[in-house]
Amino acid sequence: MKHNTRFRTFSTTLVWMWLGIFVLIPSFLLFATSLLVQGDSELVRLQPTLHNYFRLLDLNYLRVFLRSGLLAGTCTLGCLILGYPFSYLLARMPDRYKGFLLLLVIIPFWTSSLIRSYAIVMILKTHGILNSFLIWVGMIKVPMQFLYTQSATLIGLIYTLLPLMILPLYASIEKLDFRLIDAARDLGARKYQIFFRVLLPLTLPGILAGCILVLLPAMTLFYIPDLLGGAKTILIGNIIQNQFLGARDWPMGATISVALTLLMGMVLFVYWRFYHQHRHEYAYEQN
Amino acid sequence: MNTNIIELKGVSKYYQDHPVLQDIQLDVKNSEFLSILGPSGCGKTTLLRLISGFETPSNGSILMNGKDVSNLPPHLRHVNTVFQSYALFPHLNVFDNVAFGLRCKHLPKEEIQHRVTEALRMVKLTHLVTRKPHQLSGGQQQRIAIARAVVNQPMVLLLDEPLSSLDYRLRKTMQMELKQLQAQLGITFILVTHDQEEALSTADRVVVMNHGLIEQVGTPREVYEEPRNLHVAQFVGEVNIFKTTVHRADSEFIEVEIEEKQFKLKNTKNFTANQTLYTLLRPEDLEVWGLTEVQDPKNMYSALVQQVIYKGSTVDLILKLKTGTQILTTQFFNEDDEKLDFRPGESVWVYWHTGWEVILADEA
Repeated sequence: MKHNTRFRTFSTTLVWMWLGIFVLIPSFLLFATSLLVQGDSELVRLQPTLHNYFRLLDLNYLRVFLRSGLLAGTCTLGCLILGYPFSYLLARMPDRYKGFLLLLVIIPFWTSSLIRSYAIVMILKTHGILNSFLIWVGMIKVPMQFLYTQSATLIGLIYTLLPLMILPLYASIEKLDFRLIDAARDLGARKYQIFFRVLLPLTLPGILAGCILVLLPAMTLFYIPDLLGGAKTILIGNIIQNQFLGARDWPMGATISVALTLLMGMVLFVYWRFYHQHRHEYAYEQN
Repeated sequence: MNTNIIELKGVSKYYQDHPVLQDIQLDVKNSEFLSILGPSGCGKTTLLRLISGFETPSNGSILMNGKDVSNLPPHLRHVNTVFQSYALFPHLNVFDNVAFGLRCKHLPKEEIQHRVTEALRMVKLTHLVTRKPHQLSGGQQQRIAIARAVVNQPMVLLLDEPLSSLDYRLRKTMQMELKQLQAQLGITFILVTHDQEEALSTADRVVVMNHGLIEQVGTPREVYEEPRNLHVAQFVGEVNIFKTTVHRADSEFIEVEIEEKQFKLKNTKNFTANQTLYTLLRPEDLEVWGLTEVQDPKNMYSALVQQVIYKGSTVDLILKLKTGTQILTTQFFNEDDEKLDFRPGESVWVYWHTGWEVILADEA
């Protein structure tokens, strides 16, 4: 037992140290930076102020937040619409296929998403695979503009983030007691009624988890609009990157980061509260 | 009203060429309490799922009120099921669970309110309307499952081993409540169970199934007292089976040898000489007497007490006959036998009134 306790102390210390060094300290530095002002010769000047936060209220920033949120929201909706039927079919597959299909969903994670975005460029560009194919089939005569449009950004985001939607949805649907669907059919429910009255409410935790996992990175994956949207579509992530690397205004970059973190924190908090209140219903198993 | 509400005509069900049900012929009368009894894997649940519409028959047809419903989906049939697992919707409270079927049919709010309250009153759970299923006990969940089904006013209520996860006492109570509920509602109940006591005590008629076939259909008394074959006899209650040879037979009597004793019994089924038969005796049909209590032990078997099982209202004895055969007897406390004080190792006399036995032909 003594050995066991020592191991536990060791492993928890390790986790806390990791969190401290790579999460808490950077977050604190970021927050501290957001309270400073840009320097002329040095990066920041030690002159505490809340000025940066008032600058956030500028219409331009609000517009980017809004547009970024809209794009991320569309991406999340797209992932949900594609991911839900996929996860449902996956969960109802015979066990021997499940593992393999799940592996196919996860494999793209093994390659950097930056490289995969370049792959999409190859497909979408003027003389790319898609245009060549459409010309070869005879559907179009002149190459179409796919790349550097808002749609291209959306396609890139959905492609990159879809697995993050599928995995929690799959976990949630897999757990579902399918006898409940029999019960609903027995009580006279039609297909759409089964979906809206039973399936949807019972897989809501999975839907919310998937949406959060997709929504948050969808606002910050700055290189996807850069590569696919031709920097025409701007996400919050692009602005942050710009403030740090382009404008060299670290305090403002930090301020936007902190604001974004707070926003995400709020979403997570709401989700946590919801799940906490209803966990009995979802963890509840009938014999 | 003695019309048939459900008729199964030559219904078979195969899963990948494996027969689960074979040529089932069954008429279910209006307003009767029918129970389907059989060991697990005998096809009784499949039979229920065919009636509810979750499965379609491979062959044959299912008629409800004279109409062929073989290929009708569950939501278009006027039957409702109480599932073994209850399958209550965990995200809905008691009221919404019971209202589920009515809401799917888009009934007016007032009617839903009225009918749900009525159904909950019937199962005596009106005070729990706002609870969620996880806040209910097993017995309460069971009642909600019943209310959720009957609120739709089905022609037939199907119950798939609904009491199997309740404890003994609660199960007894619920059996009686189901019986009362059926009488009160006046609709047909079909109860699937592997518990023979449950089948006998609740039902008007019992269907005994085995290996995808119906072995016997009859009242509880018929099934228990006049089993059609060895399987029915063995499955419904305890039974002692003696292999018997017929020495002589005429139209009225047969002379047989049972455990090395000669008997003259009524020839009930045209048995012939040299035929091998089985004589069946229920444990409660056998009388056991102490050595000192008997003057004339003719026609009695001498036996040794091997085990005494005290059950409160009865005493079960496992006895060993001279021939080595083990038998089970059940003795009741009554004015003749107040003590029933047998001990292992004691010698006793065993007797039965000829005529109480059931004789079956060897089917093999």
